Amino acid sequence: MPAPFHLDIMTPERSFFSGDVEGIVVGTPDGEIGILAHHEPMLTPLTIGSIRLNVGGTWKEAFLSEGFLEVGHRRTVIFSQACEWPEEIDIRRAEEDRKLFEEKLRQQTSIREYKTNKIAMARAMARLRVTHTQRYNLK
Amino acid sequence: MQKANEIRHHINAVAETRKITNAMQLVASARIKRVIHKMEYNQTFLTQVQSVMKDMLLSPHLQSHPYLEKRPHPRRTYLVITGDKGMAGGYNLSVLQLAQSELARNKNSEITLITVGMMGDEFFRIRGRTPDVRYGGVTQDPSLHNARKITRDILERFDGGRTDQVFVIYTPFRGGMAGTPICHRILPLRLSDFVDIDTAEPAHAILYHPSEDEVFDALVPQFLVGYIFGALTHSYASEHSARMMAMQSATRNADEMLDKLRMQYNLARQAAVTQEIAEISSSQYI
Repeated sequence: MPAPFHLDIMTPERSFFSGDVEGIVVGTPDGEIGILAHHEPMLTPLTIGSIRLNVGGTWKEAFLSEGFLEVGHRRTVIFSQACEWPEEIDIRRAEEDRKLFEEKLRQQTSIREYKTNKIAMARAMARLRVTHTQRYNLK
Repeated sequence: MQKANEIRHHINAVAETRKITNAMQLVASARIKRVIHKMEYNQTFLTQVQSVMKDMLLSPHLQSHPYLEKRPHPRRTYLVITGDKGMAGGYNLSVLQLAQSELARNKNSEITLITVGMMGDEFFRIRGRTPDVRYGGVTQDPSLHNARKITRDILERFDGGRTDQVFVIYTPFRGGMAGTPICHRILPLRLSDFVDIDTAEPAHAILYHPSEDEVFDALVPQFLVGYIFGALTHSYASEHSARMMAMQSATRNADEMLDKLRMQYNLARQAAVTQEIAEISSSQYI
């Protein structure tokens, strides 16, 4: 069993997670990276997607919006705009968002809107992906 | 009996108003309670993000960055956070007075005015300075979603070179009450902004992946969203605490007024009764 380390996940609104984990997998601009205990101190931005946590041997997955990860000697912290467990995600809303922003992207009017819509779309897609894998695991 | 009737109407009217002010007071105090834990949490979040930022600013790798540079002849952007409604004592006015004096002090530089809340919008419109961007209805719902929207707008202006300094004018919530309004610069950042913050890690020992600039690019929006969200919740709590106080004193005034009116009513009623008796008893001698 890998050694546990303390992880905090913070959003401006609430503390999403605070406890010991054995490993995490997050998405960075260069692709997914895994962090285990005694990782060297590091700071990296995180992309919209999911985070996987190994809590006491079982892997959990949650939706993670953009943010950054800090690995330090004393602590590991993830700062993110939003973080949700699959059961907290409103699937219907996410599905509606996806359709809405898909439509908006099709009739894009400016670069500015394109960027915002793309981010919003990525969020909706990531939310859906997390809930889908969750359902798959249950079967 | 004419006078007593008039007083009774007056009593009814005051009692109705008292009901409303009392209800507003209760609603305001319930709303404060709802955001108070958010505010405390947001403070820890901000401190943590700031400590990481301080680490980076102290690091020898990060020498210059668009968010740190001081540009000559600054064009300023002011984000003024007010309420959507009045009836909150001096809350709206004191924020707006600070904003007004800031604008007057820098009238030579190009200023972009962003108002959050209808009261600010109205205030500047009446004075012939129509806000450049307006967010209405946001102060009633200090959500992350709204904070993100505002941050995106501000960052776009800053990144696009349309503004060089960004200030937030809002009312912090201190010790359970609305504090005095403050004007705080959020962009560009300076190391001196972080003197009170503890560093988290020795800066030189950290690996920045993929590069310092990219990490800093990700960090600043996090900080700004957190800060603006904090400013919105603080303003929300301040507005409601100011409203609570105002409504408390309004209710107290109504109570005093009711006491006086009831006394007058009883006197008038008694006088009418006495007069009637006097009329009846004097009529038997006629």
